[in-house]
Amino acid sequence: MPYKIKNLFKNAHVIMYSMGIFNIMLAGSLWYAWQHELIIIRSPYICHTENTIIQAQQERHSPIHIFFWLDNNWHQKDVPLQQSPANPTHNLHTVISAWLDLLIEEHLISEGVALESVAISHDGAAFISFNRAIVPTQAALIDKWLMIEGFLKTIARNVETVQNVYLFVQHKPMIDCHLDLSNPWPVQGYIHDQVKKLSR
Amino acid sequence: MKQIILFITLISVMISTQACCVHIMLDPAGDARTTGRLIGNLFERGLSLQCVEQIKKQLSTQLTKSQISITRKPGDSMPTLYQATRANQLEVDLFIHLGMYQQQSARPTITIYRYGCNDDFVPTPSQPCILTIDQAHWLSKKDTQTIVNSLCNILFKDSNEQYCICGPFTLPIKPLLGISAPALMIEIGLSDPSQYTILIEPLSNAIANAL
Repeated sequence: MPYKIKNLFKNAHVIMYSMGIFNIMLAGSLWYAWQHELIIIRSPYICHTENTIIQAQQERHSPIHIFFWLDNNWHQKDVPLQQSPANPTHNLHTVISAWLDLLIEEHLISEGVALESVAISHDGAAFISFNRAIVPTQAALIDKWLMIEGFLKTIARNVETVQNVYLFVQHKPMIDCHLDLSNPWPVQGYIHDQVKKLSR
Repeated sequence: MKQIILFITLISVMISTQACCVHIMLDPAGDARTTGRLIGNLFERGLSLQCVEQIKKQLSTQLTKSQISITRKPGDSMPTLYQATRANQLEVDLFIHLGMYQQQSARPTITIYRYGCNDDFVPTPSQPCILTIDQAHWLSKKDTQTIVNSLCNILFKDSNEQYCICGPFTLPIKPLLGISAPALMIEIGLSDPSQYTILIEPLSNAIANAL
């Protein structure tokens, strides 16, 4: 039996096959690692410092405009945060986190509400998941509605790629006993010409 | 003889159904499983049911040739979209959902809503077609608009600074989802649970006159 194995390895084309398989596996592993950004391949002929400078220039330090409804009026607060035009998902995450922080500070949202994850599809639909419902259960329907309108207004002003918004709680559709959130809400909201009627 | 009695009964039933010209369905918020919001030390479900029962009583005296029904009794639990299914099956003329909440302001606030998703420009379908649940309101859009606007105007005129009136607003509202008849939601803000009693008469008058 060992004699037969020795013979087998002596056979040139068997060694070629095994080396070929090994090379394919190695190439596949490297491809996987490159695709998943486990390894970074850089060309020595390209000046990376220039890219970094361009990227840094693209990152805006323009303020984020946050909107919320309080005491029968719209309020706007500008928060200076870094935004990158090349990464709208990251921007959306930053904008929503800033909106949440401000509303928690103003005691309009209960403490403990946090953003879980954010995604934007190619057709401009934003999928936003929180750890719990953002709308207070004891509030009037008008207050719940205007809170969501403020949220949408903030997104519309800061992240231009978003067209529709799906709201989730722990990655399941957000449920409210008054507002129908099963369908996406347009980023323009439903307020339009109804603003005049808001004065109580 | 039996055939004659049967014929007379049939005729009388037909006459009585024709005489009952308006069917209003009142839907109080909450049910046995859902308590709703807290107003003072009472739950929304109990308070809205009491309010709806009093409105029904008042409306029955004002609209003698009408049928007024309440979607639930105390202790009933309502499956999802049960009210919409029932309203569509009975072909009601007006569906009213009534909810309540606690507010700081001393004067009660009445806010009126109707269902809509930025689709007021969509024409009412003239031919039979399949509509999704969030398009059911298209069948009575104009009637709903007329009723809601006149209800708001009447309530505004009769307010005498006793209460505030707000709206009407058009929103995708869950309690009105899937109803093909004219449907509206009345939400009342109260600082004290007993305040709702002063709103029974103006609300009943407005509903009776808006139809």
